[in-house]
This record gives sequence, C-alpha cells and structure tokens, in this order.
Amino acid sequence: MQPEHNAQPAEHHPTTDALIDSAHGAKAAVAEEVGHHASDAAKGGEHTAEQSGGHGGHGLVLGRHVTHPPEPPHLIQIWYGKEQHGLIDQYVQQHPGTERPEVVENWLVSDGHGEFKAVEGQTPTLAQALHYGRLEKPLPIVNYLPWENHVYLGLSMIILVGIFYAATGSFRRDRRLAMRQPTRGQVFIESLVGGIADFAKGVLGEENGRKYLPFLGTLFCLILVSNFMGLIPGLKPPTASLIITGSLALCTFIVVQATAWIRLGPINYIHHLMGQPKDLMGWLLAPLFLILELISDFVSKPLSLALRLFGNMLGKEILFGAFMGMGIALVSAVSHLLGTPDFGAYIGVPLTIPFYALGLLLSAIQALVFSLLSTIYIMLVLPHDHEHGHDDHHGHAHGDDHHHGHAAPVHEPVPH
Amino acid sequence: MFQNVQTAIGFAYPIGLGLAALGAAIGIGNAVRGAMEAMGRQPEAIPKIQVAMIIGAAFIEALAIYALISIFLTGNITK
Repeated sequence: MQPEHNAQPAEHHPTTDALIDSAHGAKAAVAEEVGHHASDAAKGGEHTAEQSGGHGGHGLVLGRHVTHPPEPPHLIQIWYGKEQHGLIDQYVQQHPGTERPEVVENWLVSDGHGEFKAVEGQTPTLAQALHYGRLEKPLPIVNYLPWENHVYLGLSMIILVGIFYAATGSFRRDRRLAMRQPTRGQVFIESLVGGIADFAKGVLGEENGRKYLPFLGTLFCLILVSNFMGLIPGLKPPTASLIITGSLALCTFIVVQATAWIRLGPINYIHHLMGQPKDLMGWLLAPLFLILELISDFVSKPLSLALRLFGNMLGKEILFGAFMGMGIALVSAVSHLLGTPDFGAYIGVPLTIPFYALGLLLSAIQALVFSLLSTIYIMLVLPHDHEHGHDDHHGHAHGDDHHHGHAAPVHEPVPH
Repeated sequence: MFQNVQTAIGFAYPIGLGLAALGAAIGIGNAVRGAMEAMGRQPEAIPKIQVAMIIGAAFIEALAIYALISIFLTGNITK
C-alpha cells in the first residue's frame, strides 16, 4: 500500500492499483487510473497528483507512463513483473549511501533525469534496478544487449576451427599418405568444401568461384555450426540474435559493395544500378531504377538477410521453449492431481524431441539460404553479368564437366 | 471499441500474423508446385530448379518471418 502525503483513504486504492497495473504493463489502464485520480484530487481540493511534478496529466507516451509518487513516500512498493520485491525505503535504510530513486512505470526506477526500461524477459534484481536508477542518463542500448551471443559465437568458431584442424591432421602428418588413403574426417571435410566450391563455381564461374570460396565457405560453415548449436540442450544459437545475424549480413554487404566498386568500377556500377539503360526509354526510367536499386542494394538486401536468419532461429528457439514449458507444466499438473510434491520443478516430459528433426532441417536450410543469397548478391555485381535480372542466375556454369568432378570427394589438396 | 490498447493489439497481432502466414503459404505452395512440375518435366535440370526454388521460397518465407519478427521486437507491448 502507498500512504500519501495528504492521505485520503479513498485515494489509496486507485494509486496502488495504478502502480500494480503499471507493473503488469497495462499502460492504458494506468493512464486512465491516474487521470481519474488527478480529477478526484482536483475535486477534493487536494492537488497531490498535479503538485508532484506538474506533469501528472501527460498520460501515455509511446506506451510508457511515468507515475510520479507523492513527495514524501513512506512505503513505495517495487514491483518487478508480477512479484513484489520489497520496499524502496527498506532497501535504502539497509544500504546506507543509497539515494532514494523515483518510482517509474514497469518496475524500474528513475533518478528523475530519465526513465529506464530493461529488455523484456530480463528482470533486473532489486540492486540492479536501484543502481540503474542512480545513473545520470538512460542506459545506452549497448548495455541491454545480451552478452552471451558473442560468447556462443566464439564457441562456434572454436568448434569450427577444431573440426577443421582435426580433419586436416592427416595432411600435416603425411601429405602423400593423406592423398592415397584419406581418413574419414578428411573425406567429410573434402566433400563439404568440394560441394561449396562446386556450388560457388556453378554460380560465379570457375575463376570467381574459387576467389570467393573462402568467404562463402566460412559463412556457410559458421552459420551451420552456430545454428546446430541450438540443438544442443544448454547452448543457444548465436544466430538467434539480431546483432550476430546483422553483423554477418554486414559482412556480405561489404563484400558485395567492394566487389561492385572494384570489379565493376563506379561508372559501371551506377549504370548497373540504373537498370543498364540502352535506349531513350531506358534512360527515362533510369532515375526510377536507380532509386529502387539503391534501396534494394543498401537496405532491403542486408536487412532481409539478417532478419530472415534471425527470425527463423529465434522462432525455432521459442518453439522449443514453448514445448519444453508444456512438458514441465504437464508433469506439474499430473503431480498436482496425484497429490505428490511438484515434480515439474525437476523434470519435464521431453515434448521437444519431434522438433529436433525440424530444427536440423531448418538450421541446414537457413545456413544454405544465407550463403546462397550472398553468392547471388555477389554474382549480380560481377562484371560478366551483362543480363541484368534474376532469370539468369544459374546460366554461368562454365561447362558441366567439372560439375561432376567435384561432387564426389576429391582426394587432392583443397586449393587455397 | 476497445477500451484498452493492449486488447486491441492482442487481437490484431495474431490475426495479422495469420494473414502473413496465409500469404506466404499460398506463395510457397505456388512456387513449389511450379518447381515440382518443372522437375517432373526435366529431371536432368533438378539441381538448378531446386536452387532457384529454395531462393524463391526463402524470399517468400521472409515475408512471414518479418511479421513474426515484428512480434518479437514489439513483444513487450503485448504483455
């Protein structure tokens, strides 16, 4: 409860309800309650709400609402989500030197300079909330980023390097023997690299395919390993974060732009962006094409690359989480029915097992699609691509003879 | 009509997501049907058709994924 400065019993409940509702995130309800409260107070001659800061009526600001508590607050409850986490004054008394922050909407506290809002699902501890509340400015977005994605990305890099190091061990031991009698890991990696090389050469042509193979192969393998990490319980796929997928898309964007500016040249690139006009009609339509192609090249291609991978992987993770929660809820419900202690706290029905097959498929396809689209974006800005458009993506396979040569595991050193 | 913004969002989001999924389903259905027919007609061109089909499907699917992502990114206003 929240006794106020000029306490009127009738005003307790709306304010407290408003606080609790705001803790639940019901902004509209809060705005309504506070407005109601303010008008009540005005009628009763007590201008508590308007006194406290003069912006009692500012209501809904982009889904955030700041409730200013009356000035001398005795017992302000702090609500995080649906749980009450104690009283501010209690905390301040227990921790001398702590300034008392102002209570703001949605379980966070503010120093009055700005309002803070933590990322959804990351409930701060009381100490954290109060600590944030003493900061001078709102936290920069960087502090909200989950750090674990970077750790998991590093882990997937380590796994990748480890796999390749182990698989090429036979080469380091004895190069001739490795070529005569390849080990199993070697064959696996060779078929993988050969497949990627085959694909890159099929789309980009023999010479360019070999040139871009390191980039495309790295992209594919890294995304594949990162995606598969999501299938191991306890690990999180780093590709389920927009920062990581955005960085990968940025890599592709930089490679594509570098290819365009270096290989195609500025004049040819702008000509390409204008839709390669040849006649008067083409030049008349060129500005339109230029705008469209600029948006497509600089915004929608990188954005769609990043968002596609992110959305797929996060969607898969959420699906797994939902079914895991269902399994736990099932055990809880059964143990409740049987009158036993709640076993749901320890064990759940593994309802996610059927989805592992789906997850495997999805992970592989998304890794493939990302590297495939990267290849095609590179192909579109390569100089030999005179026919502009999406129809002839695959018309550049230089003969079919090498096609079958690389499909089988090749027992020769993979060219760098 | 809705007293509460949240209620309105709570109704609108699933409907919008369903519509996006519907559109993507029709699109992918058409694309895969076309690819299957082409594969049946020209089995020797299966690798090329498959690659083109996967690219097209990825583009189509991305539209549904955007709708899904809009829920992830604005999810805190629906709770």
